[in-house]
Amino acid sequence: MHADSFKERAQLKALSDEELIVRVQSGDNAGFDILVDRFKLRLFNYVLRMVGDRDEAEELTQEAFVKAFIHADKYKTIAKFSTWLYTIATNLVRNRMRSRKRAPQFVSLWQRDDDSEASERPVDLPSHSRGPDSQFNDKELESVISGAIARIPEKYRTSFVLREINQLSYEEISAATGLKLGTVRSRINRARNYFRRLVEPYLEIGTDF
Amino acid sequence: MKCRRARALIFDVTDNAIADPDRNALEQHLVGCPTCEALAKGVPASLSLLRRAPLVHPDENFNWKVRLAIAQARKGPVADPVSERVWVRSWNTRFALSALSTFVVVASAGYVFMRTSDFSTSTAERRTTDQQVAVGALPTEPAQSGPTRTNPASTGVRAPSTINPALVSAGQGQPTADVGNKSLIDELPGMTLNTDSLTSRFRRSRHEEYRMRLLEYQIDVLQGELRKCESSEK
Repeated sequence: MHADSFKERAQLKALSDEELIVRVQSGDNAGFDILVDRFKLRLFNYVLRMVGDRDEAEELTQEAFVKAFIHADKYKTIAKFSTWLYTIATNLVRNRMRSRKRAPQFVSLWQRDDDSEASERPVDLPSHSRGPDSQFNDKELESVISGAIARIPEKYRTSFVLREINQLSYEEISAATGLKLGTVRSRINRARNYFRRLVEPYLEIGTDF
Repeated sequence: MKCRRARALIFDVTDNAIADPDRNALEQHLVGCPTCEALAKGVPASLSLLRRAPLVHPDENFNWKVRLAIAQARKGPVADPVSERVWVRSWNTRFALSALSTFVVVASAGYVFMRTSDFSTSTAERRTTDQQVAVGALPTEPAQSGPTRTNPASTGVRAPSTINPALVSAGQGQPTADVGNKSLIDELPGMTLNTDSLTSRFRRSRHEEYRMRLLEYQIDVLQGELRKCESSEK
């Protein structure tokens, strides 16, 4: 029985995302576990970068999978399953951000002497004074990255995270967010510029062009 | 090449989506533009830093939590008792307020109508009796009846001044009090019987009462006249 279940699981793992969700549509729910395994890490990181809170990100990611399962009959194979899943997650994140009343709790990398943007300057963190040969540890790097992403305006952040972290194509991002392709490109580029300015003090300049 | 075009091409380089002629033109622009050069170096480096950040893993029981959530969702929505109570309380409050306001409006309208109809009725009655006395339609003195018939005025039949024959006869197929060839009902404001409303039903019941009393009075008067005739024949 164990061997059969392992064998069956191995067979399911060989199927594509679309084939698995079609099996779920016809009542075979075993493949949905495989889909959760495949997408939970990427989806969780996407939602985490958007909402900034781990518990909230887990809750929303779970909800995205639940919705995908409950409404599996609404999935059409003309689109990729990943795009459909990211669409569900994006809508959940948007709704949550709309209802949110407080900003994400991140350490700000910037401080202002007055209200003008011109007076913005980076906060002097200890790691900032390191030489170019020193490396961030994972925790510091995560802190820097998450802080910088949180500072990117929300409307640019969605496309940026889907592109740079989840490695979605421009077309997939356009489908998931409902934005035009040109809008997706321009928002990603603006977000890249924002991100560059925010982490520039921590960069090891010298990358060849 | 202008900086705006160069910035767009820098991002195309990031996506590895730049044609060779554009790449050459961009390189030439960067030689003479430090701002664009900094952008061209900073964007790939920042994205490289971003990709070095490790992915954050969800809780190790994540899969079980998803299965549990799916099982709960398939059972059906569980009403939140607190929010449902609040909603029910809110609905009950609104319903009670609506019912109360409706009652107040209806009661006020009924009260206003009653006061108005009393006023108009008493005014119309005075007018009617004055006019009918003037034309001799109503006896000014009670008729002399026979020994077996008492004076209608003394039997407790309501005095003519409280009966408005114009109101009673209007719309009932009865001859109206002909005062100047015009029905008194037409002169009385709001006294129409062609609407099926609460107030018109109220009016109809009062009209019926008046009608009954008028008929009783008329019967007594006719009986008195009949006896008079019989006695005179004898």
